[in-house]
Amino acid sequence: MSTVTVAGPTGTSTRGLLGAHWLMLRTRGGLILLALGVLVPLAVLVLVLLTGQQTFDVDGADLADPLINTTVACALFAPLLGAMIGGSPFRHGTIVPLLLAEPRRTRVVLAAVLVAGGVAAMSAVLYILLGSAVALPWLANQGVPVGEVLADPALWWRLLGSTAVVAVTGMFGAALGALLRGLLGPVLVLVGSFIVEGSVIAYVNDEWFRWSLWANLVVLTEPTAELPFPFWQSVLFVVGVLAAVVAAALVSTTRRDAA
Amino acid sequence: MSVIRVNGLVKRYGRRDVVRDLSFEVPAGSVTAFLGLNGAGKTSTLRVLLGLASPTRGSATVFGQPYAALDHPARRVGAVLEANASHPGRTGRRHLAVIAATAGVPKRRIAGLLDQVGLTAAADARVKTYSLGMKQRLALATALLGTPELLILDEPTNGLDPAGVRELRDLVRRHAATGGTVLVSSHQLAEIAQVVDRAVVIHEGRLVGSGPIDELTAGHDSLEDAFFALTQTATGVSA
Repeated sequence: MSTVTVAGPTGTSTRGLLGAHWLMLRTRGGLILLALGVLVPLAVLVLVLLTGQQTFDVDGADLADPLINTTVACALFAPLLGAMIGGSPFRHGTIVPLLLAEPRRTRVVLAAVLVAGGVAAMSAVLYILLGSAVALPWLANQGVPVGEVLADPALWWRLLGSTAVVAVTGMFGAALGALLRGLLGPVLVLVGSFIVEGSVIAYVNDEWFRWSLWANLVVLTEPTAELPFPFWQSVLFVVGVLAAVVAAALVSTTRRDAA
Repeated sequence: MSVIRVNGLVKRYGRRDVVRDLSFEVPAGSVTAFLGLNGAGKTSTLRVLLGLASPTRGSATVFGQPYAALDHPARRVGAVLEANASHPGRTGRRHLAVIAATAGVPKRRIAGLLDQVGLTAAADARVKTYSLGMKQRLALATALLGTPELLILDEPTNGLDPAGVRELRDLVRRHAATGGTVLVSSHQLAEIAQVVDRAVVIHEGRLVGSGPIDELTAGHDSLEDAFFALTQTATGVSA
């Protein structure tokens, strides 16, 4: 071990912490998951287009259906990505050097949640760009006036809503990853809640769907449609649940021993 | 002036006190051995000291503050707690880049540190291909990222080959020669006796001896003899 002179300023920063979480995601597993989050919805889109399961009217909302429905498929991978960002440091013990470098645990967890949301949104945008590159020429070839449809604000609102849903599910994954300190737990909770919630509500009373996280997430993808309950209520509900999960992750991470 | 101050520390896991009313200080500029048998409470004490675990009672401070309150912790304290604290799918260089980004340390320091710990050739290999000794070297490079004043090393010789042990000994000596402070826990008593000037000995969570190495070993042939005399006396007392 030869002598080395190391000098210069040191100090933690939010930007550095966000960059660290992004660097941590760049393992083989993380990049594969990121690629699957874009390529699987793309494959589904191609299948939908080829099998002609959609009716392509000149109405913007209808044209958007195949693209938007498959954008929501990105939300299947976003929680996994999020859980990887929030839970992996605990699973692999890297939380120890991380907290030695930045002992303010709330900052570490919040940075993980923000990066998960950002990366998930980025994957959705990337998918929309790739999906558009595939779908729009195909639809134009079917005689759909693509130019008119693209001018319809409804299309953009729905794509924006879908991207927000993907980002939110990524953030849920990261917060649950930090709360449950692993990867499998968050996925089981999210998938389990989807199945249990739907089954219970459908059995008890359909009216209760207004209190379903998943029903409200779907509403966010339809901001211009006629909705079973107000759009603003869904926004508040989803933001409230997300804030509660993030708060639980912060309290748990702060109070429990790190390792 | 004391760089580390542990005062009446108690750490309980479940119903078991692993650290019991422990108090000691580590003066600035000293190389202090932190000794105890397996399960004596050394690692638990270090975890509390580094803010990774909360004390049940009492306090543990570095530079007069709890670790979490330090402004630039990586510049003040560098710690090696366990060798397996790096993602197996990440390269050694990437691991250091993650911690450098978190600590706000310039990335340009990484190459020099990899060279310093002898990992340049393996810097771009995944950590899962590293031996225990290489992981230990990576952990040491992580601790040195911020050029800290205080080094806290928990069993740093685990897995190191004889050359690595000698290099670590030289590093500790150089650090102390430049005014730095070192607290090092180890079971290699003969090895550690060559570099330390003070020792803190704990047994079953309690302090059984502390002070300059000359005082602790007075009347004994070696640090090892003094250590066993202290811990066996403590066992007799507690029995």
